Amino acid sequence: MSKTLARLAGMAVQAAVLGYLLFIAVMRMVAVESGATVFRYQGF
Amino acid sequence: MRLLAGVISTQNPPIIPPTPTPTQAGNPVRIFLKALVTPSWGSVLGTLLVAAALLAACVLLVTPQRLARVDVGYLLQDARDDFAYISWRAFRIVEAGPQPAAVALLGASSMLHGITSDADVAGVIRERTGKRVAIHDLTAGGLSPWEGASLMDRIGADFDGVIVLGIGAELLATPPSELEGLRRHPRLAFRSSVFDEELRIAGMEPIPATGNYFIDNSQFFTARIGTIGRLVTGPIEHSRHTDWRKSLDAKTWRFQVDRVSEWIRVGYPANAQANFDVLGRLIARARARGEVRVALLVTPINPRALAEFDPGVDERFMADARAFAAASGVELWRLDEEAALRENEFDDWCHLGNNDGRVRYTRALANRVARLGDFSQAPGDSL
Repeated sequence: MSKTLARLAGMAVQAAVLGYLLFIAVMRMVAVESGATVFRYQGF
Repeated sequence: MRLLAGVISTQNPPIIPPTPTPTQAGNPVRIFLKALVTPSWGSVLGTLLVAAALLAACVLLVTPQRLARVDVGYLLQDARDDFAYISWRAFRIVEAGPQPAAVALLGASSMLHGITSDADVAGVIRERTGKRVAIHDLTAGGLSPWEGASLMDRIGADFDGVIVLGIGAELLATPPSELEGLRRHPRLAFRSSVFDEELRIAGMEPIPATGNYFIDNSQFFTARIGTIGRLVTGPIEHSRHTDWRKSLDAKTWRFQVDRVSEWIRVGYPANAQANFDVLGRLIARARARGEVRVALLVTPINPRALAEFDPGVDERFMADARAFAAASGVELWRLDEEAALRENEFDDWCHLGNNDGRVRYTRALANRVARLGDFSQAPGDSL
């Protein structure tokens, strides 16, 4: 039982980290594709 | 030999695979670590589910109402992320509900750098009227007339009080190509029917909306996706007057003044009327929704730059501004002399970089606002 739980916990942590990174990567790709940027006023 | 071989073979034990001990393969920690780094269908599925869940959470949970309740420092890309800051402030104003009287300050960077803080404006008004008045400072570097209209639309449902609109020849020279740029790449964190209306008036088609806040404003959020790390590192502070420009040397000064002069020389005759019209519609909408008094504030200009500009440009701008103010029934303020702004108090042609100058300018502005506004309904000092 504890072996199964340990294996599932390892997979869950791996999925959480990779899922977070995948989410960030997708958002960044959407930003690049749409041309979204944070405006910084530089004056004339 | 055969017998000897048999003896030898019986002396060597057969090769048996080692039996895992409970402290090795059967150790839950080892199993956990192995599962952590080993690809599996389970972890692939989990990865996709986690990414989808985060996206779904954004789509379902990110709303202006929720953003208004979080610390703005979680939203800011950096300390000078003015558009995230004023968007958040607009959400907060809406969430705070109707105020008996308030002051909205709308303008670009020269106005932003001319005012010390909204608390200082409120303090002077309180000195003069004995009333506590909410000051909504919605100034941002490069704020366009169309974004000003959007902000006023956002906060204007129950807005009663004074609106101060920062104007200048360079602002009124803004070409419609800027509006097209804002259509494709919005800077504020919300869409506005007023902005869409301004697009149609300018002959442009608004981008269709889905009705979902996060999706419709996805550029704002995807551009700032790195701020998600603030959930771990904590929020940052917005810095209104971070030094963003050092004093200009002679060559840079010449370049900048020539560039501004050219921008105004080309853009003002072509675009001023259309931009005055945008301001006129902003004022008309605000009056239709609440009891408002409006003032146009000619934002600070370095006296040295004013002397170097073509004098005809400023004369024409001021004549147009007076005519617009008279036709619209609004006040027109130019406070540079009243605040005794000096050349050495500016960082460049229009941005005050000196706090003494800002303090005098803020006081001059707040005095005018106190005189203009009807704050009789605002709570007094005793509350």
